[in-house]
Amino acid sequence: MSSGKDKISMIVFSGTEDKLIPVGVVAQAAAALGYEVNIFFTGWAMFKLLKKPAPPVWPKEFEQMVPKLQEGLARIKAPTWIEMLKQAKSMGAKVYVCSMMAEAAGLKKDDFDPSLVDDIVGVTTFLEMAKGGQVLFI
Amino acid sequence: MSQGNKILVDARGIACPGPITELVKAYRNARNGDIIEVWATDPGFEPDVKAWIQRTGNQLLELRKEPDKIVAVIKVTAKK
Repeated sequence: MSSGKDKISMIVFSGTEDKLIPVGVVAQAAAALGYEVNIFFTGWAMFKLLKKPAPPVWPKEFEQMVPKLQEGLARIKAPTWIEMLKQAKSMGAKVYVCSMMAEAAGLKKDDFDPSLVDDIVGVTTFLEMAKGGQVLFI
Repeated sequence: MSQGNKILVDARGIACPGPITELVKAYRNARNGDIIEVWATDPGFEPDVKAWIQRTGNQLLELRKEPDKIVAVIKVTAKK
């Protein structure tokens, strides 16, 4: 396998399903390939990691296409992005929540699903983790 | 040298990136000399397995398209 020097970090901001799916796909694939994977949830996406997660939301402009897409995802038996994120975590990916946004929303570590969230960290910690690797803002 | 094991990974019906994930899981427990045969139906598997081979330096013995599946036969050579 790789020497472990490959690294991908994601800042996941959007909380809509269409953007969360690729987070799961990329995280799982990168973790399987032996990349170091760091995912930093902030903004609206953060609320998807709660013990009582926010309900699925799709962007208004694509609303008409959603039923067909969901049908297609079911047909190919695509796992949910949460399942893919869990797969990624089982292969070493780390998931963090932005401390600033968590504070702003009045959320504590205890409010987040411990099977998903490794820790609440500040952006400085994230930037240090991400240093030298690829970074995606989603 | 002893004969390697043959490992079959049936990833048919699993969407990308499932087949590569299943291959990697099998690879983790494999040893040099083992043969891993992967069956997949996701069309992305064909280029993806080539990319995986390039990345890991294992040997792709065969990659063929059958009417109902893609078959990749890999010889494990790059385990440290």
